Amino acid sequence: MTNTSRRNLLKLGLATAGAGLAASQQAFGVGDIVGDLCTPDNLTLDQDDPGSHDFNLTLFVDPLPIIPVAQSIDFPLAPPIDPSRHQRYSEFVPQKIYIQVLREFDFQYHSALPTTKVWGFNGNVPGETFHARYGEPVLIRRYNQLPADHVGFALPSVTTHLHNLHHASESDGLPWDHVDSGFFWDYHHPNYPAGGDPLEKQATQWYHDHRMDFTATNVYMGLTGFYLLFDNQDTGNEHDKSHQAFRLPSGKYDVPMILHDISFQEDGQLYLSQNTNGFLGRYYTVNRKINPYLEVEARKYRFRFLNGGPSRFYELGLRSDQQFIVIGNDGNLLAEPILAETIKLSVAQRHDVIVDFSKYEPGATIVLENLMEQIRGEGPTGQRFNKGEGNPVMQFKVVPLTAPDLSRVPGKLRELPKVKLREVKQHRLFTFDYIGGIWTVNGEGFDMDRIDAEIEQGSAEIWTIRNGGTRWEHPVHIHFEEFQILEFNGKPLPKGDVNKSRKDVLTLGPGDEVKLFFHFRDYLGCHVMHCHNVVHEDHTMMIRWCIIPPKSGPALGEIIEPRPVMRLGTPPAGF
Amino acid sequence: MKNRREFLTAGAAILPVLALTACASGGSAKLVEHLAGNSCKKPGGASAKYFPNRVVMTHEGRKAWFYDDLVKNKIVGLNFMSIRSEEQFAVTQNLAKVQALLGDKLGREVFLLSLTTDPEHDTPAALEAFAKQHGAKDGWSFVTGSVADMQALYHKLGAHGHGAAGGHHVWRYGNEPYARWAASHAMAKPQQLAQRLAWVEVRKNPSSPKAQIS
Repeated sequence: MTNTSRRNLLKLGLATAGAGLAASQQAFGVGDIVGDLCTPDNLTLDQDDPGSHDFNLTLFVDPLPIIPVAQSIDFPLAPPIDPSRHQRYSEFVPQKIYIQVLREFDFQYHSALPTTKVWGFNGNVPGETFHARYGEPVLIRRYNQLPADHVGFALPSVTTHLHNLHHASESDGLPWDHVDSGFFWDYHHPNYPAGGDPLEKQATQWYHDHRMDFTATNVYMGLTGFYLLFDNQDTGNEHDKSHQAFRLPSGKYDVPMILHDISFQEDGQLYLSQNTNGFLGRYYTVNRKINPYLEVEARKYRFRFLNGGPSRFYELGLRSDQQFIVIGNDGNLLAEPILAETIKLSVAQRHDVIVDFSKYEPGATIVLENLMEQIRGEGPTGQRFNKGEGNPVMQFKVVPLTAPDLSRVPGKLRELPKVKLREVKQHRLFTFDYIGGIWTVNGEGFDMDRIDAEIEQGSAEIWTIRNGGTRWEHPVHIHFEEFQILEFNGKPLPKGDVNKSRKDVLTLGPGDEVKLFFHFRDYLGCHVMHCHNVVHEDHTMMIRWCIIPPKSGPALGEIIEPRPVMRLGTPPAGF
Repeated sequence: MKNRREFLTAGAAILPVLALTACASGGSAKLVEHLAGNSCKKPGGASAKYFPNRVVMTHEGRKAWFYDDLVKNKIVGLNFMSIRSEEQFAVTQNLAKVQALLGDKLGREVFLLSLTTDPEHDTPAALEAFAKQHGAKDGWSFVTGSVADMQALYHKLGAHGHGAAGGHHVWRYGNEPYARWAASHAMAKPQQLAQRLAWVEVRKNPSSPKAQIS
């Protein structure tokens, strides 16, 4: 950290103290809480929590782990798939079947560290990357083989949410559909665009644990991975001769990267505080390695950046004059590429970008840094570091080109679907706020048995999302259906704004109010909306909403009753 | 050590009896050592680093080390309250319903702790009457202590710097020997709070009433 940034933090520390005093109440009295607030003399950052050990690690020592691609199985599942557990199964019979086994194993976060117990999928952390294709439905059977007697902050009871995928409630990995150690669950993903509309196709999604009250802990232990979708345009082949193909950088030049910040205890095991405001890790990791490097050829790359949490916000920039060509936001290709100096990622957000290294000589190095200033888990300060003074995330090392770069960045990508305001049947208001250590939506904590909104299938709605607080940010995530932003603080988004896209995460700053347009289609049943600062989510900042049959005409899908539950079983040999 | 000295001063002022007698778990030597300004040797435990091991007093008039005696080796549900705020925020009434659902598990496998944020008013005697009024059984302890000690517990487990008495909304629960801790809303439905205590239990043989056996 530079002196300049330190000074900025000190100023902020004073500001924070003032706000805390104003908020104090009865019982212990105003004077009593002063000691708990930071002062210029002993300002502490959440990431310097005394529980977390400083290993004084060297940057850019380890190569970026390249996540393996998931491989489908070629033998029948035993017990077989039960179609009655899945909506619209016969329309989307799985063409590929996958098995993932969740286990605990040792992993080295940095070559100077001892090994750390982590949780992952088939021995991988992050889990394998799925390469799915539209028109090719898949089924993933996930066995929970985590140790039932695990000692530590995480709970060996899981539910794996495939973030932002358009699929039925029972395959969404909802907080209450948990799978205990020794059990399994089948997740059916039709890989079908919302409403059958090709403009609703998606690209970069991810899966992560969503266990009620334990999402932050279980994700922190390692339960995340990518799920990429390809189609007849975004084909995943830069050599594709089809006239429809975008020919974006592909194969080893298409690199998914998930960002997590983590801390350790002195013995090298993960450290996580119990602070309900949020958590900032001491170390930046990419694909779970601390400050790694990636050798890049002097050509174009597609990087899929994902903020995996738990609570840190990023503004990523390169310490060079190189810009990002942003092609996707929240996993969806934009209408056209946008040039950007920096990209902002609140928790769970994704940005697909092209970085062109062709102008660099072999041997050149470029650092990726985080310019967003954040000293508390509850959200960033609103200040940013100057270019070159941010926190290093990773480094790119340029090596010679091995073959000509035939990839392209088309001038037009994927148009936005039309916003059909005439189909709007309902307006709703949701205020995200805080009360006494607990995070609320419309004044209430999450109740898994309460339905907070019933939505008629096929209808459109406008939701106003309001931040009732002045000190914290919330990355609000809505499952199942994406939204478009109609107004941000009373105004439409300006042309060229990267948020003019289909989205599933809304970054809600202090006092912000945003109007969103949704269209609810294809399945019946319940989903959730929650803050994706997973510490806020675990401390009840979530609602449950359900799609009900249309008042006229037939429904698509059916409510499966009784609700599917976890099934007892162990993985087959070889897994 | 500054904090330790503050604790001593405040502790002596509010609960002078503590200075003369042994704490529940460690015997008089341990407390004397503590009061002499030496750090109290903690016997350790899975969550020892997390829970402040302050000297507190329960509504039964029992002196206790907070961590060693009330949390260690237990599954606990923990909330903050005060007698004077109960009318405005009826968390104790809600927990009385949780107690009913826990049945005979309470006091054997599962324990409830209600920590006051108003220790000067909520003396052990006042809490005893309050506990009786709410039908608290063995295994549900109302906890008070010096202002400094209760404040330390509150700031570590309840408020996180966002103000004072508002932390009454947090209900922490966990399984101490397995270091599993989480928190929810103290006013959640009683059956949901009771269910959470079951979540953190360790079941070595997979079984669940909800599970479907294939």
